[in-house]
Amino acid sequence: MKIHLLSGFLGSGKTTAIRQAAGILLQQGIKTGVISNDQGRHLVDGGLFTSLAIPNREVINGCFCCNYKELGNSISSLVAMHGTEIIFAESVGSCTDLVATVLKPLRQSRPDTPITISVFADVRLLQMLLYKGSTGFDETVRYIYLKQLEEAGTIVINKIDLVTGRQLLATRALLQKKYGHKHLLFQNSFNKENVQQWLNVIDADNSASALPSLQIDYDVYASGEAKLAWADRLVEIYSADNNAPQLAAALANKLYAAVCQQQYPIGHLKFFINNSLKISFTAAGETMVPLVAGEAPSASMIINMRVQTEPAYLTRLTDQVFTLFETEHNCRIVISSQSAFQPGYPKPTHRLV
Amino acid sequence: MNIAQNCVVSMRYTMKNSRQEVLEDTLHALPVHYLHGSGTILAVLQEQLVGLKAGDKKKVYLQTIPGITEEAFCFEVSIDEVRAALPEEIVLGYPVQAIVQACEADCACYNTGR
Repeated sequence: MKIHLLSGFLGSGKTTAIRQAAGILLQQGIKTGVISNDQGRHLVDGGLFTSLAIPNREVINGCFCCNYKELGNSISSLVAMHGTEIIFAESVGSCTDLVATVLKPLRQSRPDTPITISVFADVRLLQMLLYKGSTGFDETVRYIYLKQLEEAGTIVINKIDLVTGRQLLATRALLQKKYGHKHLLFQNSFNKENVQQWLNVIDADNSASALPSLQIDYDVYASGEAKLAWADRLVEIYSADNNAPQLAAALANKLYAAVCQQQYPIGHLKFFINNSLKISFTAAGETMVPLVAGEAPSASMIINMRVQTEPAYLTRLTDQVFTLFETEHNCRIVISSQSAFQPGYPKPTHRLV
Repeated sequence: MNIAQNCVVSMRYTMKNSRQEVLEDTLHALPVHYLHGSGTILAVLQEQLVGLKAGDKKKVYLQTIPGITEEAFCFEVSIDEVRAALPEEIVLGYPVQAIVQACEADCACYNTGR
């Protein structure tokens, strides 16, 4: 059994890479499982992997480091129930210090299990950081972002298809200067060959034992996490015009537009419609909202929003969008579950220096 | 309907290790679905479920398997539903038609309304 840990800021494309990698490995007959992680509890990603019949577990209500026991249980469960040979464990995007709090403890408790860590970064957010010195986020959030890159052995610079060749060359040169001592992979995670290349690298990677623990100020780290608001909702959309799936996609678009209008920096906005269609928006730009087909009087949607603002503001904004949307589109939105909060102070179960 | 080859099984379970520690409890979550006879769930576990029907409960044991698991586990399984697989599910090797059950009253989900 092998464990591949994935770290990287919100919206860096970790889930897309795992989805593609799991598809490749399962096609090769390799039993693959995924452990998703989030501060919330109703997750788009868990639903996505379940819909793809990829064995998965969720570690919820906090990061891996603070829920280390649950991470261990999830690993055991995937292996015992599914005979999983390769596990991708994706940490929540606001988390860092994984080498000291997850990788080293796992290596200690499972000395025979190869464990790797890859840190993902959206090339466009990296460009903003490298050229402008800012990502639009608060300084403390930027601190988390930089700490994630600092502890990486392998950095996957993702979404390279979304920048021009010239931009990529310039970014590559700057990254070589700053992080040239690390393994840098440039990837489009929708491209199978790119993901296979990443799989080849992590399959042969035995550098985890040499990775040093971060020197990190937990007060700044906690302050950065507390700048972000988490808002999750499970909703059902009812349409008299029998076009609920289309309305769900339109509602996702409206929420994104509303957050942009308020100029709240976006970690990510993820939407999962009818347990089958995922739509996501990130800090670096909008995604193409797919054309949703099919007529139906109702549609379900999981909403996960991670945005730099106060939870109460995000809740109020979401409520306003819902109310306006119901009037404009002659539909009804029923909320079956909702939560909004800021992540608490990180208290790792273990921290091995 | 009893569990046999090419059935879609919907079940919940509690998983314990040899020290009787609960590692996973899905009794109050949505059920897990699998196609019986496919490789999604370990064959040694599937074999112990053969013949069970909706409403049945059973303790299922997994001994250590060299190369797979160094620990022994026990699953207390509760079968929610058993149905014949659709032709496309047999081809794909996994269920495509989810059997969604409402959560129990004490489920972690909660209603807020607006």
